Amino acid sequence: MKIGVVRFPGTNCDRDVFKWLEDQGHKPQWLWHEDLFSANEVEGLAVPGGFSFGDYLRSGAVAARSRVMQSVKEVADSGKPVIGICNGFQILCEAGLLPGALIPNESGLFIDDWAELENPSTKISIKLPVAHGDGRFFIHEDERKKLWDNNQVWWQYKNSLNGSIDKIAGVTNKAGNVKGLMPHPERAYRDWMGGVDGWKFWI
Amino acid sequence: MKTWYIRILPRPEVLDVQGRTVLQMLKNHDMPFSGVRVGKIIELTADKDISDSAAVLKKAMGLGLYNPLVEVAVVE
Repeated sequence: MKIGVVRFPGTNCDRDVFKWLEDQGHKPQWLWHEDLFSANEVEGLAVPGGFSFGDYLRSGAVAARSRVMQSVKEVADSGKPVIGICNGFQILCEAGLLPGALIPNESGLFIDDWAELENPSTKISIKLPVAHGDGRFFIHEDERKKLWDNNQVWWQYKNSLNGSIDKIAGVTNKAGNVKGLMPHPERAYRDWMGGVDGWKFWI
Repeated sequence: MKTWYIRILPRPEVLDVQGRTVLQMLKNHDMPFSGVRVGKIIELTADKDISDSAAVLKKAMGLGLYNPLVEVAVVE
């Protein structure tokens, strides 16, 4: 698939995500925060992690309001797959493409570790690396209920990692084509990386 | 209960990269602003009245709530 990889000033997981997609047989192509493009030009999008625009105001807040997001929204609305990883997840939440927000970890510390995750629907368990300071998923109580009712909780931490509500590590939009998660599948798809659970992870 | 707010901004002569980034984002959305400074507000509360609150606040601000070298703080 032809997958656009969206980059902002401060993105730093872009090459990992590009390689991850390439190794899975996709055809990744770079997109810049100033780009505008038609939804017909790509078959999917990935928004990698990092510290876009220095995480000024809030993590992902400025990136979510940059020009390229008009096109990202168009792709999301067309039903094509969109994934946000770590800062990419924060950006998609700030852009209103995913529910909730990511706030500072309960401990106040940056967490760099491996985390065990479970998909609440399939009960599949995986282990992926995490590296974030603002990874605590937050959502208001009435919206939290809707997440569960609509099957929008994608991954949960098996153990409380950062204080996320319901140990949520990743969510989807209502349609299910837009997904976001804090852990990094692109950092775990070869044995030498310490795990392979990130392989064929998304599409 | 009594509440005070301390408004803290970067000094005008200090490069405010956060403010500059936010200004550019607003300009990209055709907003008519020519300047943005990004700072913070610290809310202090006390359960009971503090006599000589001005001196107490001054002392609190001296405990690292702001850096007078690069920031300006105003009690509101």
